[in-house]
Amino acid sequence: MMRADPLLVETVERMFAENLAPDMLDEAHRNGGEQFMALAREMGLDAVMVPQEQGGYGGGWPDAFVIAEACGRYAAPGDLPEIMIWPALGAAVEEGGSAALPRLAGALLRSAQMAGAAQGLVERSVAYCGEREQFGRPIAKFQAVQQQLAELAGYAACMQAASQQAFAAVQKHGMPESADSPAWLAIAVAKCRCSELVHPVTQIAHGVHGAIGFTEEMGLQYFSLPLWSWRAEYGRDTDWAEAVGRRAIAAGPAAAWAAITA
Amino acid sequence: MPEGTAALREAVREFLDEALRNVPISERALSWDACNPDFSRRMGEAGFIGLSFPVEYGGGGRSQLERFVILEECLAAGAPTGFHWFADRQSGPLILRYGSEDLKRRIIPGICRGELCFCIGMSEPDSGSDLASLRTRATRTSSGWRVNGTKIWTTNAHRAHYMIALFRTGEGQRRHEGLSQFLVDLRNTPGIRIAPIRDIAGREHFNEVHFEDALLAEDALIGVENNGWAQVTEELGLERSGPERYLSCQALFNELLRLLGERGADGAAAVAVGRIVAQLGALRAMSLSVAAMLESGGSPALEAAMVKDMGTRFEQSLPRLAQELIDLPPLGGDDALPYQQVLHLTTLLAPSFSLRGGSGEILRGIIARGLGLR
Repeated sequence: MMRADPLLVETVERMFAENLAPDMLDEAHRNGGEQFMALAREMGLDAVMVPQEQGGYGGGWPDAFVIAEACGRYAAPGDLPEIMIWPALGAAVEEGGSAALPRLAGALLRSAQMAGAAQGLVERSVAYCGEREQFGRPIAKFQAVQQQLAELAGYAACMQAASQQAFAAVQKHGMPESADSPAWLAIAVAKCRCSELVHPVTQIAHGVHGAIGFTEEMGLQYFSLPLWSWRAEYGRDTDWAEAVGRRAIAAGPAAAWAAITA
Repeated sequence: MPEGTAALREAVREFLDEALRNVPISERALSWDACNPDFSRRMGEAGFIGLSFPVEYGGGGRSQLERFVILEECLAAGAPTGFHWFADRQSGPLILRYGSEDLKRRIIPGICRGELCFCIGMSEPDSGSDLASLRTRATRTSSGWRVNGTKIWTTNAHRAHYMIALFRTGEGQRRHEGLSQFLVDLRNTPGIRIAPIRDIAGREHFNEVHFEDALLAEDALIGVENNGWAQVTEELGLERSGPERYLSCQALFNELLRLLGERGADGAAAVAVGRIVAQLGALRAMSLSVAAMLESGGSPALEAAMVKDMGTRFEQSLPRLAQELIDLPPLGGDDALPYQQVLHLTTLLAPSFSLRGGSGEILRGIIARGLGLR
């Protein structure tokens, strides 16, 4: 199962859109997001990776990407991504809960959440620039703004592709036990790239919003605050880059290339 | 990657090991910018050109993703693929999609054998980023077309057999209307004058191509008359999304890794190398997803522009990064270390990355349009 279940994608999109629209976020984040988490449990999203024989949905890593990415993109409250992922690591849902994950699983999960939150900022920024008028027209009509938004969208697409590739690699090769597994490099690439791009993504998104983007009322903090935490959790880009670089230098050109294409 | 690509990858690597043994580092540094007809013929013999073209025209009948494997292995090894690159990437697919049956039978097998070199006639002296303003005109005659005007920056025109050219054929309400694509036989058409232009490194690879009452046959028109803009937009999707948009400097990266391995690297050097690998891996994921969209019949212009824009910025940053990590100057000539020769050539080549296939500003304009901003 290298692709996510289309039915799951549709269900998640609908549920998130109905409950986490921009004007609902303040309410949704009250009390630690209790209400949203209860709804997610009711729909079985916390048990997506519980095997079918144990009464779960029996989903794969591409399905986990769908949920974690959507949690980032819609700025979902609570810790659904962590809770969802524990069963795939051999622990029961309630055993793991929101405790810290093993480093590789955590890095993988954070990459999807960062990719989602970056895409959320793209959507917010495009919408805002289309409405906000200065000099007699929407600021989205100015080429200088268009170039910024295009750059932002490119970064978000890059994060999405890198994270999705890592989830696919874990689906194919299993959660890596050492750095020799092909999935290790895919996770390292995803975490390094997503963490590294948090800076330009948040810089552009806040920049095009101007002063209003710095207010609590606008709600950008539901995306940017987690991004600024996630980029350092389970290894900063610097940490992953150093590990990847050391291995590449030790391996030499041919073996380094073989690892990238494995 | 679909099943079966691992065996194909092994086969290409073995082929390249053997075929590149006597190819000098100066050609490998230039990779798809270097033309080596002998090498291209060997690629053709091995069945590695036109891999995704239909078998009945001499192609391999395989998927876009399998073709992707061939491309990235060639680029990683610094194979001099320039002679057949454009035909394999865009001219062949264009002819297969819009050409007549006769044309397909006449041209495609030669492309697959690595014998035919194509060039792309789009830019003109007054029409660069504003391609739709082009003025070279093809006028109908009793038996075909008469062409007058000038194309410029045409890579490989002086060694190509054919040009796929975009000419003005009509007047529309909008400038994008009234353009058509043609197949021009550069070696057998009177009235065509090709003048090489030297680049900043003194190399001659791009040209000015003058059409002075050049007569083309009726069937030189490819696709639908006055539908050229739509066809070219599709073609540019193929031109912009491939692995050559982030692997042009791979020979430099390879030499850099080798040298750091020999001399030892500190933590800061490891971080810098790791960031390069991460960018490569992420760009590859983006490019692969475009290849998958092409495979399923899509025309992902927006995604292709993203690959090209980010890929170009990455490629252009490599010579500087290399110099930051190793204190050796770029140097041409056989006395220099391979690393220095490659650094010399890629430093001089790098400015071309952001002009071929569309400038960054134009690409981001396309992305902005895709976002609904214009």
